[in-house]
Amino acid sequence: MRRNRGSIFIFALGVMVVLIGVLASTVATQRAFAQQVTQESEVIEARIAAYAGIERARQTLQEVADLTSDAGTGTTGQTSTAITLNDTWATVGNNGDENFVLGGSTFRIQVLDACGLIDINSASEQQLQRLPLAQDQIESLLDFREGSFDPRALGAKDTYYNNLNTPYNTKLARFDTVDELLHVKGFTAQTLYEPSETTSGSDLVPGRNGGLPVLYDLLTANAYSPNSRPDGTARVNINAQGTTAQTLQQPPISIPVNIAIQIAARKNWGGIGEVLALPGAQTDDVQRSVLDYLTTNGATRLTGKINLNTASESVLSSVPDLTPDMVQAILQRQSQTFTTLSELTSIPGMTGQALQSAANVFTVQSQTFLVRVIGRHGSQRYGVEAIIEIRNNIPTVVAIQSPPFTDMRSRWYWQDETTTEVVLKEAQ
Amino acid sequence: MSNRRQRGLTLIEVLVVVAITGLLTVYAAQALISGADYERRIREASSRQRSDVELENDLRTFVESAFLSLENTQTTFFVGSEGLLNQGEGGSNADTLTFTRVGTRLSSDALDYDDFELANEELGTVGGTEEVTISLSPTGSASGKTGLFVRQQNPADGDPSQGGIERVLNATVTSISYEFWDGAVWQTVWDTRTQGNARLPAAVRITYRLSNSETDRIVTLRLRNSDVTQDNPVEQEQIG
Repeated sequence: MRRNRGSIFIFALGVMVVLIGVLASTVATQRAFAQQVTQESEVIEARIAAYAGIERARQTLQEVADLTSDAGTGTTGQTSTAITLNDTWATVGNNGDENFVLGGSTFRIQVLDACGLIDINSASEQQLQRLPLAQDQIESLLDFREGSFDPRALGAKDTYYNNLNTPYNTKLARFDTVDELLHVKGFTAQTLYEPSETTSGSDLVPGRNGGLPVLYDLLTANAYSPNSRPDGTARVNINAQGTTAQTLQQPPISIPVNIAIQIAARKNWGGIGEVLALPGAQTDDVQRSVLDYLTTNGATRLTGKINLNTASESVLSSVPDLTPDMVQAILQRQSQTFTTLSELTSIPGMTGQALQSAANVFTVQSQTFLVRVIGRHGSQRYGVEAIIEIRNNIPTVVAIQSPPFTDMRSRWYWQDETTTEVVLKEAQ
Repeated sequence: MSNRRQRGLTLIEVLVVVAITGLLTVYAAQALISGADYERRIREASSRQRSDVELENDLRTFVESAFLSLENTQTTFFVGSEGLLNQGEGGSNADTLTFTRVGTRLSSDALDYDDFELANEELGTVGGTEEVTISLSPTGSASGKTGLFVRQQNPADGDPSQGGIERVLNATVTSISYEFWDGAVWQTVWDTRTQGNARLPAAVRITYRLSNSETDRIVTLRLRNSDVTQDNPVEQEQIG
C-alpha cells in the first residue's frame, strides 16, 4: 500500500515536471525571438543616430564653407581662409567626449582636418621613410600607386601580385582608401593598426603622447585644399603658358624682374619650393610672393598638402628637412594661427633646403574633413567614418565607410564612457 | 479498526488523486498541444520574416556602401542595366546591378598576422574597393543553382565580367528589378561610365518577388556615398 501511494506521488510529480518544461521552452523561444527583434531594431536606431552625427558635423562645417565663399567675394571683410584647431568644427563633440542625446539614441562625434594628415597618394619616399615602415614596404607602396610596370628593387608589380595565393593586379593608380594599403606587399592589419617601431633607417616620427606611432592615426587617402591665396582669390599658375614676367610683378606679387623672367621662362616647375632655390630668391619679398601667391598647377584644389595649423607633432615630424626644433616652433605657433604660408619664414632656421621642402608640402587651408561617429541605441553601437569635402561652398558628404573594427573607441583614443552631455532632444 | 480506517482513507485519497491527476493531465495535454503549436508557428513566422529581413539587410549592406573614387572613375563604377553591363534599349527596368563598394570589416584575427603572404593565403584579400554584381543570371557557371546571385571581387579590377567569388544570396527570389533616383525622377538604368561627371544615384528602388509569394515586394535603399539631392540632381543629359 505504501508503495502505491508513493508511485502516485511520483506520477503527479512527473506530470508537473513535463508541464513546467513545456512552459519553460515556450517562454525561452519567445524570449530569444523578442531579443533578436529588439537587437535588430536597436542596430537600425544606432545607425540612424550615427548618420545624425554626420549631419551635425556637416552643419558645423558650413561655417568653413561660408568663410571661403565670403573671403572670395570680400563681403565680410574676411582676410584669411586659414583652417585652424580654434575653429568650431575642431571642438564639436570634444573629440568624442560629448554625448549628444537624440531621443532614445545618442551619438559621439569627432571632426579631423584631413589636411592635418599624411596623404598616401602624394607622400614622398623621404617622408614615408620617417613613418614606421621598412624600405621594402615603402617601395611596394610607391610601386602600387605609380603607373609604371617596372618594380623597384624591393618593390612589387604584377609578377608578384599575380602569383599570390589570392592573386590580383597592381592598382597602378591612386589609393581610394587607407585600408587599400592592405593590398600592398608587406602590409598587414598589424602594420596599419598597431603601434610599431619598424623603420627604414631614418628617424621615426614620435607617436601619440610619446608612445610608438600608429599608421592608422597618421594617414589619409583624400586630402584636398583650395589652390587659392589666403584671401580666397586664385593663385597665379607659373606653369601656365599665359604667365609672363609682367604677371609676376603685379602687386601684391613683388618679384624682381630678373627672377620673374627666370620663373616665367620655365614651364615645368615641380613645386613652388623649387622657385625658392633660384639665386637671389631668398629675400623676404620674393619668399612672401612665392609662398602666398604662386602655384604650379591650374587645378582648383591641391592634393595632399599638409595644413600647418592642424598637423600633429607626428605628421609635422614626417616632413623631410624639418628639425625637431622647427616642429616644436610650428606647434607653438599653431594657437596663433598661420594665416598665410609665408608666416613659415618666422620659424627659426626655416631657410634654404628646409623652407624649400616645407613650401612644397604645406598649406594653411583645407577643404576635406574626416568625421568619426559612433551612434548608440540601447546595447547596440554603430560606428562610421565619413569624408566631408567643401564643394562649391557646400559641405558635401563624399564618402562614408564602416570602420575596420566593430569597436573603434580605443583606436580613436576615445574614453569608454562620455563625461558631458548635450541634449538635442529629450529622451522619452 | 486502525486497518479499516486506513483503507477508507486510501479510497478517498485515490479519488482525490484521480481527480487531480485527471485535471492536471487535461491541462498538461492542452498546454503541450497549444505550446508545441505556438512554438511551431512562431518558428515558421520568424524564419519567414528572417529570410525577408536577411535578404533586405544583405542588399542594404551591399548597395548602401556603393562607392565612387573621389578622383579617377576608371576603377570604380555604378552600373544598373539589363543584362551584365549591356545598356538596355530603355523602357524596362535594369535587372543587373554592378558596382564598387568600400568598408569591408576586418576580423580581429587579422591583427595577428605580421606576414603579408600568409595573411593573403589564409584571410584572402581585404580592404580597399570591392566589386559587386547582384543579378538573377550568374556571371560565372551556376552549376544548376538558381536564385539571386552575388559576385564579390576584392580588389576591384575594373573588369566586372569575370573573377571573384560568386554565391547564391537567396534561392527563392524569382524576379528582381532596379530603379535609380537621380534627384528628380526614377531612372530605369544607370551607368557612371557614360556620365560626364560620374555620380551615384541618391537611392535604388528594388522590386523583387519570392517563389512563395504572389506579390512583389519593394525596398528602397539610400546610397550613403551619393551627393545627389533634390537641390542637386543629376543632369538628364548625363544619363546614357
